[in-house]
Amino acid sequence: MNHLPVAAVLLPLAAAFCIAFLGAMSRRLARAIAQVAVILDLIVAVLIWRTVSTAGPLAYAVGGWLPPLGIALRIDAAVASFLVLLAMVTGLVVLYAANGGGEDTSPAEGHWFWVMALVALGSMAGVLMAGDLFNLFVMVEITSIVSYGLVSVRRTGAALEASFKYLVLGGVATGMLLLATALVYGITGYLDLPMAGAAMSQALVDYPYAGMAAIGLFTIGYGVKAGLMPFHTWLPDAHSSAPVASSALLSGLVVKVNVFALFKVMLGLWGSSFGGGSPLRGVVLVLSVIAMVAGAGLAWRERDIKRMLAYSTVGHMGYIFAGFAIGSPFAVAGAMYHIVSHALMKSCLFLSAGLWVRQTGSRDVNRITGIGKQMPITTAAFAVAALGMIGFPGTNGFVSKYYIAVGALDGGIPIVAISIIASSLINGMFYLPVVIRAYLGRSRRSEIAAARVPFGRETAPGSLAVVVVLAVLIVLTGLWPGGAMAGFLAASRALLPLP
Amino acid sequence: MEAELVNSWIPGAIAFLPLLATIGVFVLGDQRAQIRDGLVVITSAAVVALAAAMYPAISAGHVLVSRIMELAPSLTMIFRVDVFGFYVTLVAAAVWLMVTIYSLGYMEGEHAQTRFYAFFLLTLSGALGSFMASDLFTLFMFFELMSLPAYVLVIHEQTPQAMRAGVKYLFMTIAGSLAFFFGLVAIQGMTGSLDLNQVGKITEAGPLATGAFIAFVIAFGMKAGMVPLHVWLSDAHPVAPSPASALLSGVMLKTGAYGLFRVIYGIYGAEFFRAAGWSTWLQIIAAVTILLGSAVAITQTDLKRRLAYSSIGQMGYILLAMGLMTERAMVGGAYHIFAHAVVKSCLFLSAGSIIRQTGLRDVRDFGGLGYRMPLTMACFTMCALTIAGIPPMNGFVSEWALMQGAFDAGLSGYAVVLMLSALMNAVYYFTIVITAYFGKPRHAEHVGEMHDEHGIIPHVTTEAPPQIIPKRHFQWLREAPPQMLVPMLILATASVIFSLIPNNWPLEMAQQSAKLLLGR
Amino acid sequence: MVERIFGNLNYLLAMGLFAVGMHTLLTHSNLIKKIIGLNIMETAVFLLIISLGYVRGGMAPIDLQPGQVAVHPLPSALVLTGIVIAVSTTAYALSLVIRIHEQYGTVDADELARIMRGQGQ
Repeated sequence: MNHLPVAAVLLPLAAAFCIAFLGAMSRRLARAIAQVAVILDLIVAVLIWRTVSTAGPLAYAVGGWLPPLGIALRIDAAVASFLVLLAMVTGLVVLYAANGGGEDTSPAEGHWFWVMALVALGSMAGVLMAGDLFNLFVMVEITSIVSYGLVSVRRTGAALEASFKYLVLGGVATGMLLLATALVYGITGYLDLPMAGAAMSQALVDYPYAGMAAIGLFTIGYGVKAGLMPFHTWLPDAHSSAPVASSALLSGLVVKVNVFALFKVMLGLWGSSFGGGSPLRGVVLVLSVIAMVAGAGLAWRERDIKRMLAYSTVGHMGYIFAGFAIGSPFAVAGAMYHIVSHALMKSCLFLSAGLWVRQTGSRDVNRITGIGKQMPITTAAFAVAALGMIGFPGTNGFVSKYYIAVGALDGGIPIVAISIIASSLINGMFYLPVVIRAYLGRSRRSEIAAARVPFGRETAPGSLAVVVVLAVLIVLTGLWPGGAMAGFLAASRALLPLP
Repeated sequence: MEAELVNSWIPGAIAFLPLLATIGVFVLGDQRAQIRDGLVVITSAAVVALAAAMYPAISAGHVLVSRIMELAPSLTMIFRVDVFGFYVTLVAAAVWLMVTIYSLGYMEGEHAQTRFYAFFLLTLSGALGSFMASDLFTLFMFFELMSLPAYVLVIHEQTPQAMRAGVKYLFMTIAGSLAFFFGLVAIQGMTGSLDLNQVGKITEAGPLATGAFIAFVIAFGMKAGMVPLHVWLSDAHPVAPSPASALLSGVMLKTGAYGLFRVIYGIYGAEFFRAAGWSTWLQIIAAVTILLGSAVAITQTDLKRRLAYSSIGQMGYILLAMGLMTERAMVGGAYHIFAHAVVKSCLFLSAGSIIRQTGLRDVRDFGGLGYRMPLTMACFTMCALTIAGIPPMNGFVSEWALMQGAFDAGLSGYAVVLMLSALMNAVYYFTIVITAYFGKPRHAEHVGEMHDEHGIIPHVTTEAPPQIIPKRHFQWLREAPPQMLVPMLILATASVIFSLIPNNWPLEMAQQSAKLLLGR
Repeated sequence: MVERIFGNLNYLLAMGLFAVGMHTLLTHSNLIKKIIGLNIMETAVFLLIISLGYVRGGMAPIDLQPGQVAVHPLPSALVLTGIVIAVSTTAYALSLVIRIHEQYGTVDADELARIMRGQGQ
């Protein structure tokens, strides 16, 4: 019970190593280990969550060494919820990929997808739980490297190039993060977040420029990894050329974990969201407002469904950044909830789009017309997730947008509420036509016949089940956000300084 | 006047029963069409019965409350049925039942019936849920639940025209929803609660309060067909299948008006509304809507387009009542909700009956129709008389109350507007009636002798040359089948009978509602 | 003034190196050179960290005699970890470049962009 936090990180890593060695021999064994590992990890996450909900925030010293010499893992209500989300979504994606999902069934990548997905699971859990700046840095880096790998797992030309671009930009961000970490260590003398935070106020007096540099570098560094405009340029290529299972993980989890890491650093070191009162907050707000609208606008122009979804991610990261930057309890809780809801929605969208693409052999939205008659369940799941992206009440997308908007008004920044509305409208303009034409458009039998899968069947029941589960979750968390939402609200109120 | 709140399962059941039945419809599908149709009818009937079952408690002065769930702090799904809500719910449910029975006949042989009935039920659930909502979130949720499935009903025919109308409808609905969202968030920000029963918290017309009000006007006005947001209506109602048009005009428009009633009188409050000067704006917009709707209706030759514009004008009456704010005007507006719902649905049903049986859509071709479809035209005529405000029909009752209300408010100019509108209504309805009973079909005048020897030549709206049908193949009486006729007759009778009998139940309800809204 | 520059020479050089690395990364179109630029950047950061931890006359904190000053082990640990990360990233990047070369026959970024555009990407 008391070693659960470490288990959350080590279990997936251990499974990944097993698969790396054994998978070359037997693909079936690799798949089995992967599926078992994610289920076990989900159990671990739920246990952690239960512990935190009953006993309050958890602090764990790795190896028994207490800070400042040792590394601490800190888990509060928000982190625990995210751990469950992480385990759940990764588990679902792994199940999807294990049961024949994805655009094609070529075994080119062998067992490497499982390896990287599991490493990502472990390292992201590490990012969420890290209470120490350097541990955070290491975990973020592991996540990043594995993400580069997830993009290029199928080794198509486009994916290789996208992965390289991602690597380069991510590498720059890494350098900045390391520099920022070093600066913070230099001026405060601590790497443990709360201790460094305590020493920070004095440090800022002594070294104001270093402090400013550190906060700026953290923002840019994590901003690149989280896809904040204008640092998002790697995202559309990376998330669209990756196979859908990878895209679901990348768009749904990786970018979110990086935002949360930034938020954690800000809170821990500077005590308030984005260094309260500093011009940085204004800058991030402006960037996120632009991102909300521009991301949606750029998605609207796309005809490739995966690029459309990728740009949509950029837009929605704007929501999360805005929520965190506003800083009022409702807005922050809304941003946290949006992490959950967007993760569920975007993975559902990518995975169901993957089933479409597999069936029709094309990623062009104009060629997916009429697919709804043949794959009504898949299309229905896509429709539910799309309605969630637009903010239809009854989905979790509505709940998070509502909270961010109310928080924006509370925090005195109504422009965010307006841009949420504008962005939702544009989201509607590109998601709804896809759904409508899927159900009502003319189906293209000739092209479908050319694809590998026989016409006239919903494909891959296992993967389909995953997609349906996600859609159901979207509605369930939309109607009963209760526990998670209350948890987020409590966490945000506790974390933030009173207005 | 604090009414006693009583917990009851009925409102929740009313809202969710059609939703659950939708699943049944999808499962039964086209294979078991008969059972599916039966399910739809039974659901509609059950909903009416449940609504009626609320009457004892309502008449005793209670307010029925169903707490469904609390999603999150301040986001709750609660139904709260007071006199006004009960009245509107019952009227809507009853009209819906009539239209459902009619649909069984009309949709015979049509494509995509399962889809139609499924989304039909979803829209029902949404509409009734909106009428019973206790707070803005519930209202928003069911409003959306009503609006989005209605898109599928609008584009049912899937012709290019229908798809275009559907796109317009969808775009405006989403824009309206987002405006609603803004209002929702603003109200939460200003008052800390989304309850529809919290008068007095907003005390000054600051930018946020004004912005929220404008947002609500956009959202609800768009749904109610208020000018200038009415543009979707004139395309959507004609292209939809007639039962759907009947519901769009008869019930869905009313949810817009209802929502606006609730927001103005339940959140902002009558005093604030008047003091802020917004009531004047609403009156003006309403007057423009009335005049524009009625005037354009005269120019339309397609029957359903004419009825659609007529709806726009009629909804203006209700909006005017909201703006005038005197008790008699409110009674008139509330009564008109009933009167127009019944009448307009009956009109659309008869239009559907005419179109389906004879293929005629252009009003100029309706010559002699009164004898070929006597019952249908009788219904049409009764309804036309009602709308034109001929005493002692329902329409007269509401118009008279409205006019008195206008005088009460000292704004007799609006009475003039109402009279003008009544005149215009008379023009465009009576021309149809007269043509039907006393007219000859248009092209018969050109063709001359053909009319007598060969029977009336049907003229459809395509440009194909008129065919001459030999008399022995020609069917004179083209009356609709009973499933379609009976609902129409019931509705038409309802439009007349309530104003004739001494115990005018809807009027009583309207009066109590007006009192409730004004807080007396 | 001069003392300030000489006193902080390490930091200034580190910053300069960082800028050099960034410049290389951004302006050269050869993929391998980009990787080199990335490495230079990361090395610059390592230099900075080590400079932060420099203690004049300090000894490793193992078996210290009284009167000897110890160096804090943490900066070295940070740098070592950083080097590991840099190496992994470089290795992965180089393998990507190999695959790209196999696929497209070029390691020039501009050339690559042209090919990708031509393919309707």
